[in-house]
Amino acid sequence: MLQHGEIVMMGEDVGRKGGVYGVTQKLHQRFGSDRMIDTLLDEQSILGLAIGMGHNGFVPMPEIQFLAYLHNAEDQLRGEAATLPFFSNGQFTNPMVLRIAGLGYQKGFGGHFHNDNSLAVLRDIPGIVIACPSDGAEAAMMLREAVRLAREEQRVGVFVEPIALYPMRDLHGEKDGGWMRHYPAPDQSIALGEVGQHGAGEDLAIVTYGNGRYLSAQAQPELEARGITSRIVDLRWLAPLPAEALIAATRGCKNVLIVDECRTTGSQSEALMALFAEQSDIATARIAAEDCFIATGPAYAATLPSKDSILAAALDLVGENA
Amino acid sequence: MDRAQIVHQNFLDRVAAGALPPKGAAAGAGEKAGLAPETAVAIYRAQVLSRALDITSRAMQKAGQGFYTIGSSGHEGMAAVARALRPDDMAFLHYRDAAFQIARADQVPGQRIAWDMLLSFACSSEDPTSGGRHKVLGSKALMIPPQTSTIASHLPKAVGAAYSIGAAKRHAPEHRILPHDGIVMCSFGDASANHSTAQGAINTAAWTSVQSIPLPLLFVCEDNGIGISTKTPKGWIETSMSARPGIKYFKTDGLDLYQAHAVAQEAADYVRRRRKPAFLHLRTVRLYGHAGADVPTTYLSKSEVEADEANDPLLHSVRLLQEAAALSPAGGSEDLYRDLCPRGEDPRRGGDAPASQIRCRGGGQPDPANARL
Repeated sequence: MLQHGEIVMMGEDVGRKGGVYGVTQKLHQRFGSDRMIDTLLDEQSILGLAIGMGHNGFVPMPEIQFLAYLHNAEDQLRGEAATLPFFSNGQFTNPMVLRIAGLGYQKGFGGHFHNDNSLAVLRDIPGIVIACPSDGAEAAMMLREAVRLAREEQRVGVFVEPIALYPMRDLHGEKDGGWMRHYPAPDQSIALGEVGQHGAGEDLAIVTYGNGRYLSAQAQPELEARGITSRIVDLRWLAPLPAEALIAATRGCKNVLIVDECRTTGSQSEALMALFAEQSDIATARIAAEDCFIATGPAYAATLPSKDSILAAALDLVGENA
Repeated sequence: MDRAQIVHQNFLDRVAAGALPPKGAAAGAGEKAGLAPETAVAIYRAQVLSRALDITSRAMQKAGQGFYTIGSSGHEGMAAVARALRPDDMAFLHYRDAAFQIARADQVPGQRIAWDMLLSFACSSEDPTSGGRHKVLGSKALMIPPQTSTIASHLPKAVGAAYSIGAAKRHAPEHRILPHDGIVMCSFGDASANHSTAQGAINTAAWTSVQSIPLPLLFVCEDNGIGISTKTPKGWIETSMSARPGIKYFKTDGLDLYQAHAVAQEAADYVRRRRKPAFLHLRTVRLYGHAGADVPTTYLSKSEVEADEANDPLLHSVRLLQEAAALSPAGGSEDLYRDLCPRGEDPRRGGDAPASQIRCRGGGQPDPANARL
């Protein structure tokens, strides 16, 4: 926002409160009410505000508080924002970076509504970019790219922020700080289509994103201990699917395990299975969340992939193809 | 007989016989004085061209060369609304607003609106709006962003665009396109006004306005009394919209180009000066049914259909122009209609550019005769 005066943010509570999870804290004091717009409780109006401001040269970054709240307003994205460049043959555009706090694994709060774990409603919209970062540093670098895409290519981008990773500090044990990151220098960014790779093992490539990367990173040392070398390939950009980069990042691997925290039906894992079936000969399997809504309370993770289920699926796959 | 043919024949017969529809709540002398004769005639011409294009779109469809038949017939009063706005006021249009776009094109030099709309009907790759992707109203030069508008889903962004004008005054983005004293207009039908999206946008505009945040937005509700086959309850739009906090309500008759222009001008001036939203309730009729395949007599009585047809806005315009001594029927308004609407008699005969040949002529280059249409 310092660099680009045309960026404005809007949403319920983005200003004075600093966003539903505090992501935009203190920006209101810094940039004022006219760039940090507290809106009324209507997601269609939030997206409408963003689209309309985009028509007039602004680069809006609206926030929708939860994935479930996108659903009542989704037509503004699908029917309006995404179609304007299509209908106008590129003469009119409404660039934006839509931030949505979402996905599962949130302890102590939520349930089927607030922890909705499906992106199906976004995945099939032609032309939009869907980003899902898996740690703080990558989030900053990917957000810079999303802003660049909006400013320079007039793209409509959706930035899905995994709620459960907001407070995440540790990876393997208490106070290990394994998921803490340094804020990346302002000139660093992650290009659209650039996937992340962690580890260089060839027995197994775990292809995942968001919380799935975190859980897979937990499982990685245990695989190592069992003599299985692995790498984690983080999609980062869920749409357009970085097909070439994924094929390149898994080349030479004996097995591919797709870990998808979204529901089996309609999730990215369907596209990934198709991709590996069509474009590679590597043995491929997937685990995804069950086709069930998420419960509130202690059962919050019952339907979701876990470190243990990733481990079990990996051992199955590698064992079968040993 | 096809309703379009009936309406066409009605026009010719009634103008010839001087049997023009009586004035409703007629425009006062002041309203007539507010519109120069040449502008009134230009509005009428835009109305007739809109009608001619409706007729042509149906002919093109029959010939397998057009792909869209939802027309603007009955809503030609929107030409007067266009003239009450500036061509740089961004307009998010209802799909029945061909007359608005044509009248706006008259305000901007270098337009060839008839040809462009014909390309759009044909879904030609040369269509300047969408490149042939859809038959849609819209134009960069006319500040009309194309969109579908069928379910009032364009209203929330109209609110956003109106808000952006004030925001850009404080922090002007490098690529700002709306002028600081501009306003935004959005139009929709009486049926889609019921959509929760429309209601949400109207509510948001009111919520914004009562906080004295600038929101120069003109809502235009084109009330033809029916949504496809479902009638709007009598007085519904007026009773539900006339007392919204923060939104000033204006009501006018879209059959009367003078009155429509005067009231639209008043509403636009209010929005422009006060930077507050207004709701312009424009009475229209719907001719020909919803779309080409829709036969209104299957759900409306013949007398109801004929009552609307008797109120053809073009007939009202002929009378009004005559009363204002702006244009007489003989040698004037009737000739103008006959000049632009020959295809109503037979799309494959008459006129210098039969619909069946439109795409072929000049290898896609507008023939000067057509460009003039």
